[in-house]
Amino acid sequence: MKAQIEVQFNWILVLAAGTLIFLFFFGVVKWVKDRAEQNSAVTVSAYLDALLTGSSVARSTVTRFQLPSQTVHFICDSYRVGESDASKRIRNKIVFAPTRIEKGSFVAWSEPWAVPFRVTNFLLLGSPDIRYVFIGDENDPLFKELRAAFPPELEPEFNPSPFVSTNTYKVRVIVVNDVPSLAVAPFRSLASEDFTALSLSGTELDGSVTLTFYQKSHPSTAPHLLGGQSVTAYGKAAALGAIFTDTIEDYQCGIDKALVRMRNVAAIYEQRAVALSSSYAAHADLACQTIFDGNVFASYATAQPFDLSGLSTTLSISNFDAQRNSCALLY
Amino acid sequence: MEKRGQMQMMETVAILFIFFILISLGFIFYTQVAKQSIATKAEEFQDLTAIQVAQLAGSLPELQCSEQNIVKENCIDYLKAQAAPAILAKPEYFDVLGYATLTLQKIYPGTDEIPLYSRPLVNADNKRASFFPVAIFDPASSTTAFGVLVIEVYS
Repeated sequence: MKAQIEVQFNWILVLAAGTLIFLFFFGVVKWVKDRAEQNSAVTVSAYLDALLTGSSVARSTVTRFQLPSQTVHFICDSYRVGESDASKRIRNKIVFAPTRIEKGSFVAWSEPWAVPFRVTNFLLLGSPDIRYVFIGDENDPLFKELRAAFPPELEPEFNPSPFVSTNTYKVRVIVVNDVPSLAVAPFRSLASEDFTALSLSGTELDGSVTLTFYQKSHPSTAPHLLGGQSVTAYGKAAALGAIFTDTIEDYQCGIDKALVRMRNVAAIYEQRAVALSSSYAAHADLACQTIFDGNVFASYATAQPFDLSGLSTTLSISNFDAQRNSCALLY
Repeated sequence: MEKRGQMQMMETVAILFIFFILISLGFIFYTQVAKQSIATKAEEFQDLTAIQVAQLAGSLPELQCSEQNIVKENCIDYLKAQAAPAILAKPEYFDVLGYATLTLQKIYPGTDEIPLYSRPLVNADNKRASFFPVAIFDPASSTTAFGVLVIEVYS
């Protein structure tokens, strides 16, 4: 009887110790896995930051690079790599990107934003794994300009027929000078934020264009396009930025940062113009002094995107006058 | 019989004890290696940050010479540089340049020094200085001087 109890006790002991050891190893493996994932996310985000900085300082360049097995999520002013909780601020860079780019190819396109003086480079992030579909009249000047400007690295499609699902994880439809009236049904399974549309209305990318953002209805409801919030954009980079951003909120976030930068650059140009005006006054060069006194840099302090077309025209004319009179240029 | 049972029990406890000692040793070794690799990585990231700041500072339209948006490489507009310190002191530029100092030194003809941006990190462990030879163009007199843009990044 006693021996029987002892044998049973031994088994219980072995079972308890085994469970303990198993739990211990399970804990260690989970801890190491979490740490490795976090480490990898930190490394990827640090290198991504460096890549984005490098791309953003180069003007009008398209850089293609590979992201190792991690999805990058973009929210307004920050991004998050993989499933890590920690997000990294985009800080100084003005980035226009979809809400997420899945592992694989990544394209960074830098485009200078000028109003008409150069303010900064916009960084447009996309992926060839996202479908960019342009719909419009082939003879429309804006459509032609978009066709010429959009990098082939992103494999854009122009007026595809038929417009059917190709199982990409995201679809961005850009309708030029028209209201989107698409057959959304083939894309029913995609989440609302993964099938979005943008309507671009205007005559040229370098001028003012009206942007209207649309989103597909929830997958559980009859598929149709929702939304229709509009904003005015000025400049090619600002119009192109909207193509890469899923929501009007994220787009506005980038534009707000750009406007702050624009005001600072204008303030520097304004002080430079004051110094040049004094210099021309000292040399009794009335023609140049008048041009520099009449500069509109101060008006940029409160300017909104819809004011920029008028201000840019005035400043361009003054700059031309300065050039014609052999003065230093305003910008 | 009871003594044999006790012995067996002791043996099991001893094995478990040694097993956990070995595990702890392995764990200590792993954390030491991980610590070392974190330190190496941190240093690498600091280098990357310093390069990024230098790249950004060199491409600031707030300082660069340009005519009709055509940028002259490695050229600083003297009048922009004089106006820049007040603007670059704004909080939004901390996002661009971080803990760093930017100084424009005019070397020839004559000497001059313009502190463009100054946000040194108190008690910094590291300071990386980079020197970039630049042309300093004064649009008022249409003259060009030779200078150096000194960028010091703190971490």
